[in-house]
Amino acid sequence: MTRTPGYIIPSTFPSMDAAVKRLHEIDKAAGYTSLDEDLLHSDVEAILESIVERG
Amino acid sequence: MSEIDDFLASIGVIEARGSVDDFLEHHGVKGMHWGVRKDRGSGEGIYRSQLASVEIDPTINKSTQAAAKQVADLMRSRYGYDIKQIKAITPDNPEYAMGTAAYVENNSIHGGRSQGTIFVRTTDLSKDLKHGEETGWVAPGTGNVKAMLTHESAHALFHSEESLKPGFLGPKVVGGHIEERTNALKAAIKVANQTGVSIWSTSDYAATAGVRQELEAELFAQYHWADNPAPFVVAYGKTLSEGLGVDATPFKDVVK
Repeated sequence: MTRTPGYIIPSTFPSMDAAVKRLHEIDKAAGYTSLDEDLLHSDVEAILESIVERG
Repeated sequence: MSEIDDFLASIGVIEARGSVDDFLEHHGVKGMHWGVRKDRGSGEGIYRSQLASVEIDPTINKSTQAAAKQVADLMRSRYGYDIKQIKAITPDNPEYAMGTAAYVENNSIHGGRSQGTIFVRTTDLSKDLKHGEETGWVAPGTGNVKAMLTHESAHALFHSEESLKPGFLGPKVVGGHIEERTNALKAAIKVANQTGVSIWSTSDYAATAGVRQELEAELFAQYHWADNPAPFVVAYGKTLSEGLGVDATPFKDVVK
């Protein structure tokens, strides 16, 4: 990461829709991820690592 | 123990002992540079100013300057994230036209220590930030420049040292305190479930974004600045602090 995506203040945008659209754009550009998928991914990785370590 | 400590202990998020602060000892986590530890004798966190080392653009609104310097100081002393400069988002910066209020640029790594620059608009943002608080975009107590810059600094702290390495299911994130952060999120989710609320009730900012990283930034900012953070927010902050081996005192209690 070279920079953070940026902070969005809705009232500084022409509309709430424009602010939300911008927030989604910058988070997508930053590669930000779904919470559920991320936690599931890390749990499964940990289980698989444990299995491999045990042989 | 505080009431929240009692509650967190009762559901197993923290162990029942004198207080969560009692076991927040400095463990010297490799690669981190912890500057300020809680002085238990004083009963309050220590706030040592290091403001002289921060360069700041004088065209920035005065109250924003003061808030930015304070957040820079706190992030450096508590988490080792070294903000050296505070610059203006000027019209020649593409972010100006895009409506960005603030961001943090990661500059370089010096001896393993992350270093960044805060970029912020020159105008007084207080009314717009307060409006965001009044409409639920952010939580009570976090509609201000300090919380905004703490939110962005959390992104910088968490993600500047992340990298990807091959995993069993594809690339996986390593570095950036990912394990401690994941544990903190799980603790927060557990408490949210126990108290019958969604973790996404953190704020409309987090819910609208719908991504892990914005949720983390909002939880981090709320833990430090919210007037009355929800138990799951407290669980997040205390679990993260314990994992990182840093003082758990919320920033608002350090600077008051």
